[in-house]
Amino acid sequence: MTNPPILDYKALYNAAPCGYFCTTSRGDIIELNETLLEFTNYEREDVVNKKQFRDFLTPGGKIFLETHFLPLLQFQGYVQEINFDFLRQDGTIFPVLVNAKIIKDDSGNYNFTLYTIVNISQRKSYEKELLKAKRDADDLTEKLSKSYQDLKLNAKLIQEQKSELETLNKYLKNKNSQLSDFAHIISHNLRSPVFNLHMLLDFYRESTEEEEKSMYINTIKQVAVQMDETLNELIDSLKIQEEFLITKEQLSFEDILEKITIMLTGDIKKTEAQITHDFSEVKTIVYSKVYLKSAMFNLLTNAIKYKAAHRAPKIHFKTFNAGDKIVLTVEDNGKGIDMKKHKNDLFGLNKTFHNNPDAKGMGLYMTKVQIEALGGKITADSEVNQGTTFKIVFRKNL
Amino acid sequence: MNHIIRRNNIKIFGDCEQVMFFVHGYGCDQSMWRYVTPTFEPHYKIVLIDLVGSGKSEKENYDYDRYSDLRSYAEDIIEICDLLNFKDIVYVGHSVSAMIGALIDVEKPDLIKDLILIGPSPCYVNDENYHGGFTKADIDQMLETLDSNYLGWSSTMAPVIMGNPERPELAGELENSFCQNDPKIAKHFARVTFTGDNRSDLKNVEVKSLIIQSNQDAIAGIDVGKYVHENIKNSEFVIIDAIGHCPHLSAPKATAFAIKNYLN
Repeated sequence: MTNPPILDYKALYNAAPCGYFCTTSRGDIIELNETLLEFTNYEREDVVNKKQFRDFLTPGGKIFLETHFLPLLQFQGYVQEINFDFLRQDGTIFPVLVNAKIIKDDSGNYNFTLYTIVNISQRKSYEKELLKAKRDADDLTEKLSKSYQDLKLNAKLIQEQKSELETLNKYLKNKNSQLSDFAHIISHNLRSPVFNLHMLLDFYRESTEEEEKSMYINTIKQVAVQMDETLNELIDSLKIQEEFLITKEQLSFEDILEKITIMLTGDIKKTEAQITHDFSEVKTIVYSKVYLKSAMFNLLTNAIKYKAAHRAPKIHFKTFNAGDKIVLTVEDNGKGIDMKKHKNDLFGLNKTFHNNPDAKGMGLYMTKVQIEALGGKITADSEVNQGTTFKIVFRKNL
Repeated sequence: MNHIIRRNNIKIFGDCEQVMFFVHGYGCDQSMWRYVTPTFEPHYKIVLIDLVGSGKSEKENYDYDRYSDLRSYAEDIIEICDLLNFKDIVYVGHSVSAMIGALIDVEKPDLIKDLILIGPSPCYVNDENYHGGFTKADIDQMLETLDSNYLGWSSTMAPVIMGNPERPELAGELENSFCQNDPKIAKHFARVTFTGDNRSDLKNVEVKSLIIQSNQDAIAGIDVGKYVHENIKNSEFVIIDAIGHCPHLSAPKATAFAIKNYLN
């Protein structure tokens, strides 16, 4: 067996694969190893006591030394892994990492500073590549972020256009449904007055007394005037109803009732219907004239149409307050509806509950749609052969 | 008020009336004064700040345009003094902040009672009749070096490391290194500091001043210190035996003594 080689610390120090040097507190280099001399191509006597650390640095390095490295060293007693360009004797440079440590004696007095210099030429070129790659990535990120901003802006514009189109679409849909509403009102609400006109004409023809004849002519004139008014109202409201706005105005229940009663004069006379009202609690309402008139007209015609077989219809209109709502009830003594059977489809389209030839199944459906369009509600309560009470709840604040 | 205290990370201590306002130079922050302030604490109200962009100042929304002019830093300090009602202050500024002190006196005479300039340089670049210590090429190379080497590598990676929540110990370590500033801001501040020329402002400084010159300063050499002394009317000039550009760190006793001697 051969003995392990005897460790020669001085040889180790000189041949170590990194540079060492040592400075006084004033910065003068008092010792350095062979490796550092090899790195820099200096002779020992050109450095020891002649040079300082800063003499191996570029001007930029000197500034970094003074503004960063030395304050940090003095502040915390050591500095690690700081990157400098190190000058060789011929003025060329090579990149290094520097570690430094202040050594103090036992009583805390500053003795000297030890420096270790690691040549990082090879990894530096990789670092440069990495840095370049990072800068490229940063540039790309910036570009992407800009594209993203553009896309976001475009998306916002598209969203705005979409929302405009949606608004327009909603408007058109509403307009469409209004038009079909009014088509219904016209076809339905004018049917009865026309029928009444026919009836009044029959009465007129059958009548033999001059006085009676002139009364019928008068009534026919009034019905015609009311029909004309209703038509004009419908046409006006079609003109006015832009932007989903349904014109609302202060309406007197009594006035409306009077007008629809005139339109139904024939029916009322024929059936000997008794129409009464109590609008003492709530006399007026702010509402759509067309809709209110249409609702009351429908309920009145219904009550007359579906009268009990052997008694004259009695129809009572009444209004009252219920919190922030106004309630209108229309009570009759007609044949009534089997609520058990028709509870769910009473207000459905084209439903008729009696074998009445006049019933077109449109009136209640239309009334419900119109009332609900303005945030109201319509319900019915009925007993067969006793009569029916319709109840409309209007919102006060439209 | 809280905003400004946060903005400049203002620290105030000492019970006395007379304000002594310390402002750090390029590269570091207010902690560089820690070996000097104990001398003055018993007799002064000590005010420390971090310039915006340095140390623990507010760096979000750092305004590169605004801080392209040293006057903006001067305005910040005037604003602080107005806000906290500081008058007739003793101002101690290192390096670039020595020049900021000079600009404060030009901007608002009488705010500063005594101006102490440690290692000042009104211009780092040489010209025909002036020796600032560096050529234009040196400064460009320094900025390039800052960018590609020192600040480039470490600072590119530092935010990555500091933003690593799985290794909080790294963040702590870097935070303790008081010379770790945001690389982009640091580079900007370096450019503003080392390419500026405030020589023409010196003759407008009226306040009583002391220039403390380290006898071995590679950044602002003795010639530069003398130039400042010759151009500020009411100035005294003292050379202390200290190594490097930060005598308040390398020779805090000598630095404190020079200041104390002057103030008394």
